Amino acid sequence: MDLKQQIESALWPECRSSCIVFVDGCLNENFSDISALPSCCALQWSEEMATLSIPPSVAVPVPVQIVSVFSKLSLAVLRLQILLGQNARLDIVEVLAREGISADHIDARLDEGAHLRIADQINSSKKAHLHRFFCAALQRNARLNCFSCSKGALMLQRDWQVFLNGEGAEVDLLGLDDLSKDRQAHTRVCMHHRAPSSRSRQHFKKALQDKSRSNCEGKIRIESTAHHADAAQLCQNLLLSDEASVIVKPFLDIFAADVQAKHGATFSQPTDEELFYCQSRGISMCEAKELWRQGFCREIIDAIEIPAMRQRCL
Amino acid sequence: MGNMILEIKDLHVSIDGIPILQGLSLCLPYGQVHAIMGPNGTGKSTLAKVLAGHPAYQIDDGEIRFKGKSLIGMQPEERSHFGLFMSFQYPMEVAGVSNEQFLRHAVNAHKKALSQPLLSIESFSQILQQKMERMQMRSEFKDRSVNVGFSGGEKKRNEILQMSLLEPDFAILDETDSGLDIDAMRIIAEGVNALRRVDRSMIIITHYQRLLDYIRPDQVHVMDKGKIVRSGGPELALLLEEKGYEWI
Repeated sequence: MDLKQQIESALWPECRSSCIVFVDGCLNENFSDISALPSCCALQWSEEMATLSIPPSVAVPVPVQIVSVFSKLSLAVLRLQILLGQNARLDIVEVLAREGISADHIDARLDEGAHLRIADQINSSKKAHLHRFFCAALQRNARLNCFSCSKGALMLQRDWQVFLNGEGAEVDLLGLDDLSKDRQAHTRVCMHHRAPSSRSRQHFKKALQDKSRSNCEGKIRIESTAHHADAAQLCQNLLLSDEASVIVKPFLDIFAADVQAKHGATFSQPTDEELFYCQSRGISMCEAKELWRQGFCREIIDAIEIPAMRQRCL
Repeated sequence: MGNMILEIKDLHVSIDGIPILQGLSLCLPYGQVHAIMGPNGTGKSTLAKVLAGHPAYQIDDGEIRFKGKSLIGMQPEERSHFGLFMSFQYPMEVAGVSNEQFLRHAVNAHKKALSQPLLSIESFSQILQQKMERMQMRSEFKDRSVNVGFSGGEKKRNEILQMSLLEPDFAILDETDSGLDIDAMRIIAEGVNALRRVDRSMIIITHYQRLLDYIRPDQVHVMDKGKIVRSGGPELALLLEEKGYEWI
């Protein structure tokens, strides 16, 4: 497929006029189109970084899709900065189908009362090496909602660094890894609570089959200025083979009083009794495990806030 | 094959080396409903699970023939395809999988095993709606995760709904009445009675006579220490109600 065909096949119909297209890591202004956004919104390319700016009080009515294609298999670094003014609202969606080695760096700055929802679906080849780095800083009452799901890759590493700098800032971070064969997907999160009454929720689910592997490191750091902060982290893992492996490492650094901070991890397999129940209804052991996997993943999918992404993940 | 749908001869079953069934024999003709009663710990639920093919149980000796074919060595799903259904005393929850999806999967697994055309989502949905109305189950239950958040009565009703969809030749109902109030039991019993036919047989495992007021058995058996120690007509259940198991 040539570049144009690649982009056409990747674009969602509802995002044809709200897309940011990168070719080999560089913003391509010919293929990008933000005509569906209010005219005051701006997309710029400077110093090897694309910047999307949404002015104060602007609510972008359609999701903006990030499309990244490659003209050749190479190492590519994508950099995108998202600036949301006061009370601005924006949805970002991305479906990644990568091969080769790539690194994405997304940086988001949310001003007071701004609301960003960002959802990605990673369907990369089993030979892909991907590193996704997401950094966000939230001011007072800003809200960030992130969803990321993947089927893994040869190596997939996701890093989130989120700074809750303003009072009342809120973050919800959902992750789903549905891994098979020898695919890997690793997650590293650091939530920095720096302001009072800030709230963060992390919920990861990982379903692992065959020889797949996953690590999940989640750090919650509550500074001395973050009184009444409320932070929670949960990592749930479904192991569907004896050779699958997962490591969960939670970290809590708490320097304030009157806070709530909790973390939890679960590791489960369907029990013999549960599988027998399915089998007694005529469902084979293999199909029963598949049903269990689907059921396990469903909770996170149902929680995706962007309807267009939720539909595509079902 | 004769006129027996189920023949159990001198069955010995253990779990983790502990003998549970110790020489149980039972014959069930086509079209009949038999009740099995007995004190706790006598092996009634074990019998149900062994018939359904639970992997935890070891068959040490004896024979089980269903429709003339030996069940020993048959996988649970194969037994189900062959026409055997077990209603669980404690039905399992399947979180994240809707009742409709689960039931459609089960029905189509049977269709596939019998080389029949599979049901589409739409046609199954219509069939399910009709069956749910007969079981007096609200439509919302088809979208809820299997048994998650269901009351005891709703779980048992869901078991009978599954039975009505899978249309087995033989069903074993393991303490279907446990935990039910009178109204719920009546609804369950109506559902079971609606499924009685001349070529469908059932075993009802129960502690109490009251269910048998609604589902009249052809025969009643009493189990003790892993085998059947007494058999009789429906009046046997009334005698047990009056005199207790010590009388046996």
